[in-house]
Amino acid sequence: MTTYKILNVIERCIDCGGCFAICKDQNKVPEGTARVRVVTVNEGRLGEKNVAISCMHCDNPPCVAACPVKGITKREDGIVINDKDKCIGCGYCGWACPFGAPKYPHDLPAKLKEYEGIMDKCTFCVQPFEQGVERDQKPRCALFCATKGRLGGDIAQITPLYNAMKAGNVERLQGRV
Amino acid sequence: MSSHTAYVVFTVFSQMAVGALIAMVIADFLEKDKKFFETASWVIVPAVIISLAAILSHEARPLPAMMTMSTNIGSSWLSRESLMLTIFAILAVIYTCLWIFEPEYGSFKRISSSLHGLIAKIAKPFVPFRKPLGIIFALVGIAFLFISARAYMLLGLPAMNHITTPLFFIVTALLTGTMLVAAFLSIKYLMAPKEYAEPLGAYLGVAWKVVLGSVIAGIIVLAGYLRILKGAAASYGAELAQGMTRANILSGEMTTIFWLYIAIGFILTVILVAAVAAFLKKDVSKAAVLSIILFASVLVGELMGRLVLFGANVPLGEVMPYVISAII
Repeated sequence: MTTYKILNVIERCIDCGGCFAICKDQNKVPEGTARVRVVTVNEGRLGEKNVAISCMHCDNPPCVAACPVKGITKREDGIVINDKDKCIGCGYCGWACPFGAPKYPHDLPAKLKEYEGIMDKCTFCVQPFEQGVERDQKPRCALFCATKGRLGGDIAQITPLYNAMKAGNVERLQGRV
Repeated sequence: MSSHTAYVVFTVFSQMAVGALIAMVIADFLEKDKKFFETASWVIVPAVIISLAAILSHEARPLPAMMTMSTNIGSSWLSRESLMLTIFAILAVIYTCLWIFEPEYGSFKRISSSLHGLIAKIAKPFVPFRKPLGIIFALVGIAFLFISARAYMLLGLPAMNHITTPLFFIVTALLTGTMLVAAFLSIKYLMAPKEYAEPLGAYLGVAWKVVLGSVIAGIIVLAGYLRILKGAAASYGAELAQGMTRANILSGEMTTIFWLYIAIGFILTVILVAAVAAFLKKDVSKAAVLSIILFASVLVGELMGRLVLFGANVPLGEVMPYVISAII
């Protein structure tokens, strides 16, 4: 059975902002909010690292348990999505999430006012910001990552790649060497 | 209303309503002039309404929130809290009715004697059971306090995920509820001092002991809370979040409010409690005036304390990038 996940090879992230930009573009995420953010730790010091943070589509998502209106669900393929029609914008999922992934956008343009304060987060690109017909599971952040440090897809396929990258022999795995 | 302000007002006023109901049950057992105590029964429901208005004001969709917040009783503590608050609000209305529609001294007759007569007929068979019903309703209120506290005890909020959260809530309920009733009774006494000196004296005699005990409990809980924040936690992330919360309280953005909380909520309150106790036997009218000031002190102190609790809190999501980068 397919289980979709996102994995980050932290050593590879150069904080180019590509994941942030492509997510904004492809999911029509308005100004003032984002589904993925890059946090730099130890900036300018030894051990500086960049960490791309978004919804991790947890196996046992605390946001699903916390949501008082059953607005967040985990699909069979592992993707956690939020029904914006059900969401009341209480902010409780934001407290429950250990990654701080849920965002509650404000000051939205007039045509998006109905989503003011309503939770938005990474949906593995199946739902753009404006809720509509579901699309294919293609995380654009992973597809467009310049250093291939962000991996998204079936956990069975991306885990060997992740392990190889962590071990530093990704080229061998991909048959390039 | 901002998110923090909404939670501060919601938690303090809902707890004050529970405390006021408990205080009214105590007043009912004092066997003094029930007509005098009846006045304070009016305060419970408005406190619940203020708390409800505060929490709904922070929702993005307040009206759907009212209808759907209790949908996920199975796993969401917020749903359970919302359901318990609804139940408590209904019980608070029933309990208030048992006072204000009492056939003899119920004060609703001054608003509408015909309506009072009608509802008093329905309430009459239940009025003799007001004391046992009050105890049951107070127990439901206490259960609400624990469920409400549990709603904030999340893994994602490590600094609040401790036993100190329900203890803070109980202290707030006892402090503010007891003094809210005391303040209203004091106002009524000041309007007719000769008539009500004895029942007010009896109530304040209990109230100052409850408040003093609650202040001492509050100091112990606060010291325990700061100690817990300094200690080890379930994970490195939780420890980091707790440490940052402690820093926010003692040497960060919440420090000024924290020391004001200590000064008003504890030091000034203890001085005023001592003054109320000292004047109680000598001059009840001075004790009444001091009780009103004491209520203001307790309320402001608790609002500040709650602002510190929510405002200084660092969620796990904020520190997670630092944790992830260190372990993978």
